Amino acid sequence: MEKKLLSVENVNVFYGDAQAIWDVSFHVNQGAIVALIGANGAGKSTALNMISGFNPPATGRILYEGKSLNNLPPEEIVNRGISHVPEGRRLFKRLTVLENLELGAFNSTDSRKRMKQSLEEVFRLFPKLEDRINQPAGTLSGGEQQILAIGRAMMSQPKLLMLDEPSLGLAPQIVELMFDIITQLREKGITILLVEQNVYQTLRISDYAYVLQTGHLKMEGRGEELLADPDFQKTFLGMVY
Amino acid sequence: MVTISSLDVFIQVIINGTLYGCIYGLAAIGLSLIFGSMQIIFIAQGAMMVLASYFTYWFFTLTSIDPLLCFILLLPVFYALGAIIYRVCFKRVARAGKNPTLLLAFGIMVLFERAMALLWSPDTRSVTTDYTTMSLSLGNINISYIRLLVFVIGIAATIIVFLFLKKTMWGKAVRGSSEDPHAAALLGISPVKVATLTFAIGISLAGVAGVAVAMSYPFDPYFGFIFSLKALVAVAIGGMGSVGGAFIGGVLLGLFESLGSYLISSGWADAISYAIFLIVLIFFPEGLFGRSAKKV
Ligand SMILES: Nc1ncnc2c1ncn2[C@@H]1O[C@H](COP(=O)(O)OP(=O)(O)OP(=O)(O)O)[C@@H](O)[C@H]1O
Ligand SMILES: [Mg+2]
Repeated sequence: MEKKLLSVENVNVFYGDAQAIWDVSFHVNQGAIVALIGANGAGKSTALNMISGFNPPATGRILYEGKSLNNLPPEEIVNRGISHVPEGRRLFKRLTVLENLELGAFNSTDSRKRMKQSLEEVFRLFPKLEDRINQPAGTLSGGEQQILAIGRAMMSQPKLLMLDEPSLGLAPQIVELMFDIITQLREKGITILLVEQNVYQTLRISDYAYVLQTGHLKMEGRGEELLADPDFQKTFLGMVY
Repeated sequence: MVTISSLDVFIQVIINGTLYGCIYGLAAIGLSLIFGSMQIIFIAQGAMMVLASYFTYWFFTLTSIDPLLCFILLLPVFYALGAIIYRVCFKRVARAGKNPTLLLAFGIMVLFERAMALLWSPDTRSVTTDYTTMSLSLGNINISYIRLLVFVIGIAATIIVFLFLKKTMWGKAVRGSSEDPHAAALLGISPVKVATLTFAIGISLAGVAGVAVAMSYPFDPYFGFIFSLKALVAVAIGGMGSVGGAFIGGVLLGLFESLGSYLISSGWADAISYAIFLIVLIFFPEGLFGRSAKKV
C-alpha cells in the first residue's frame, strides 16, 4: 500500500481578489517524485507557496501526515518536515556558503542539534560545496547556487522537499546533473514535489505528474501516460519545440 | 598651515572630534541595524537617547547612583522598550512601506519629546559627577576620562554587535533576513522575531548612547533630534546596513565637524556635516565603505 504523505484537497487560492488556483486537488505518496507542470502563470509556484504557509487556501484542505496544515505559520510547516527551495534559488548572496547552510538548520532546536550531522550529509551529497564554505554564496556559478539552495533546504532534514524550477537558467549539461541529483535525493528516502517546465526530463524521473493550466488542474497521470496522450502532446510538446 | 605651537591644539581637536563622533557612531549602529533589516528610518533614535539621558539624570539626582552603572541598568529596560515599540507600533505598519513608517517614527519622536518636556520641563539638565572634569594629561594634551570612556564603550558595543551578527545563529538570521526576508521565512526564520530583535538591540544602543550623552553634555528634551540627523549622516557615510561602517561613519563625522569648526569657524560644524551628507548620498549612494552595487 502506498502511503499519502501530502494531500491537497479542492483548494482555492487568491491574491487579493484575483483567484490563482481553482478547486485543485493532488497528492504526493511517501517516497515518490511527483511533478507539477504547466506554462508560465499556471499557478505552480502559488501551489508551493500555499503549502509552505505563505498564501493559505481560502477554501479546501492541505493534509500532511494526516494533519491539517491550513492555518499554520511558515516556520511551523518547516518544523513538520517540509522544505521549500524557491524559484530563483534566493540564496543569501552576501553570506558565506557555510552560513547559508547553517541558516537552513535555524528552524528548530532539533535541527540545530543535528547541524553537524546534517552538514556532513550535505557535503557527502555535494562535495563541491565543502571546498567553498567560506566563499560568499553570490560568487558561486548558477549550478552551484542551485545545489547550495537544495543543500540549505536539506539542513532541516525534511521528509518532503519542494523544488520550484530547479533547472531554470542552467546550462544543458548542468540541467542533466540537476535531474540526477533529484533522483539521488529520492533514493535517500526523501519525497519530492517538483515544479518544472522542462517537461521531458521531469516526466522521465517522476512517478506521477499533475498538469496545471491557468490555475486549473487539466490532466494527471504517470509520465508515459501523459507523453502518449494526444491532448497533452498538443498543449505541451508543441511548447517545448 | 598648522604651526608647531598650535599642534597641541590641533591634536586636541582631533581627539575631541573622534570622541564626540563615538556618540554619533553608537546612535548610528542602532539606526543602521533597524534600517538594514526593516528599511525603517527610525528618526526617533535621538529621542530614545535623550530618554536614557533623563533616566541617568534622575537616577543620579534622586539616588546618586553612579551614571556608569546606568550603562548596565538601562540595557534591559531599553531592550524591552525597543521590542515593545516594534510590536505595538511598527509590526502592522511595516508592510505599508517606507513613507508610513517614517511618519510613524516621526510621530514617536514628537510624542516622546513632548512627554519628556511635560514631565520633566524643557530645562537643560546635566549630570556632574566627581570625575566629570577629570582628564588624562599627555604633555599639553588633555583628554577627559568621560570622553575616553565613551570611546571605549562605543568600540566595545560595535565589537559586540559585530560578533553577534557574525557568530550567532540569530545574528546570521538577522543578516540573512535583511538580505531576503522571504527566503529567510522559508527556512523558518520568523520576520517578526527578527524585527523585534533588531529593534530591541537598536534601541538598547540608543540607551547606551543616551547615558554617554548625559555624562558628557548638558541636554534638554529636544536635544536628540540633531543626533538622529547626525546618526543618519553617519549611516549614509558608512553604508546602509553595515554596523562597522556606521560606527566609523559616526567617528569620521565627529572628526570632520570638529576640524571644520577649528579650521574655519565653529558656526560651520553643522553645515559641514550636511554638506558631507549630500555629497555622500549623491556620489557614494552605497556609503564610503558600501558594497559595490548589489543585485536586485
Ligand atoms: N504576488 C502576486 N500577486 C498577485 N498575483 C500573483 C502573484 N504571484 C502570482 N500571481 C498570479 O498568479 C498566477 C499564478 O502565478 P504563479 O507564479 O503561481 O505561476 P507559475 O506557474 O509559478 O509560473 P512560472 O512558470 O512563471 O513561475 C499568475 O496569473 C500570476 O500573475
Ligand atoms: Mg513559478
